[in-house]
Amino acid sequence: MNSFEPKIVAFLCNWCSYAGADLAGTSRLKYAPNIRIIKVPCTGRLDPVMLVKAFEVGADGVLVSGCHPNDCHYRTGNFLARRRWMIFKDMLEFVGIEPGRVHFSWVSAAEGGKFVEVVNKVTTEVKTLGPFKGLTS
Amino acid sequence: MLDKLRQRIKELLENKTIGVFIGYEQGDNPELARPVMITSAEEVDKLIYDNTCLSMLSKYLLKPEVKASGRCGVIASYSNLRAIIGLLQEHQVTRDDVYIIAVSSGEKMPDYYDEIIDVGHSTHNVGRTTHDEMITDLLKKPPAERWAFWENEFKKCIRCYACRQICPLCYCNRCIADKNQPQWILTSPHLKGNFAWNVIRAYHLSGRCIDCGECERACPVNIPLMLLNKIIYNNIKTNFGYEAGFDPSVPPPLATYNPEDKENFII
Repeated sequence: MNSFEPKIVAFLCNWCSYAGADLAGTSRLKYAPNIRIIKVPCTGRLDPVMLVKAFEVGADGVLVSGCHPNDCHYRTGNFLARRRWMIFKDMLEFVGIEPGRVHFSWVSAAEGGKFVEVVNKVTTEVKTLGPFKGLTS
Repeated sequence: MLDKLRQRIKELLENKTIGVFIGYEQGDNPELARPVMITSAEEVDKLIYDNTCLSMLSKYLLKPEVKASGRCGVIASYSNLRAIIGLLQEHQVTRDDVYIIAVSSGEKMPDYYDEIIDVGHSTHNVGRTTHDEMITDLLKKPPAERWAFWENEFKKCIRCYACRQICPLCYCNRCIADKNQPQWILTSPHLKGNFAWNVIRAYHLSGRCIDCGECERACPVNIPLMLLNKIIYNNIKTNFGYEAGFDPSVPPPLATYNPEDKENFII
């Protein structure tokens, strides 16, 4: 299974994590090429139905990343999102999606290095779990 | 008790305190009473109240024709009362538009009613005690087995949306499942769409579900929907100390936040 390259959908907030990914790029840092970035205005914009959709269309894992608490461009978006994630993540776990497939992180615009770490960590975890076959039939 | 109830509703209709009363009458099914709307004092003899009165009445309060009939009287069991409080909290009905006759069957009723009647027997708690055990059992299993369990359950779904129609807190004019631009939830009864629908339905009720168990009762293929609702319900109770349907003045847990919220799952 070593040849398995997971598909990971990364929802990054416009103001912090997307800029963090950009910084990683302009700094010429290398990270796993398995993520497909989708830019969202704010993590608060992220409807959990989008995570479900990602799995439905063939993602093996999902990463959601936004601004650190108190740094949200819209002041409260990430605080509100944090509560939703907690509930939604536990429910996905309950229906049998391994917790290693769904990740959440705070990455600021200055943390290109942390972005690389996060992506590598998520990719390794999803790789270990193997492909998500639950919704393929 | 029934005579007293009929007499009281007669008075309320005659002195125009209420324009319409929603209660139960004997229907075709001997095991399930039929909801009925009464607008004149002559009709009160139709009314019954026993342990076949399971249907939730709160949803009728949202109907335009009911709202147009003046103040609406309603008979409210424990779950029904909690549902009405949920609707008050979400500004779907106003307190002055409803006249609540609470029917207590032993539970401590939330203090949002106009009158209360105590009947000794319990209604509306059909088979709801096993959920916590089932949740604990399922959580002990590895994820693959849990997925197999749910895959099997979700495959049965015929997408009749009875769970949504019966739910006292599902009242959107346009449900996400009916939207097709973009179509987030596939409409055909296939595992993909069924998974999305059942998970999102439960999620949309997080912090709002009042644990009445109606979705599960209405489900024609017996999917244990309350397990999904309960996992969220318990999560919110543990982490935010909140239970829906007790106090309309408290902001719903997912519409607010605390800077100190738990975030040990975030990288």
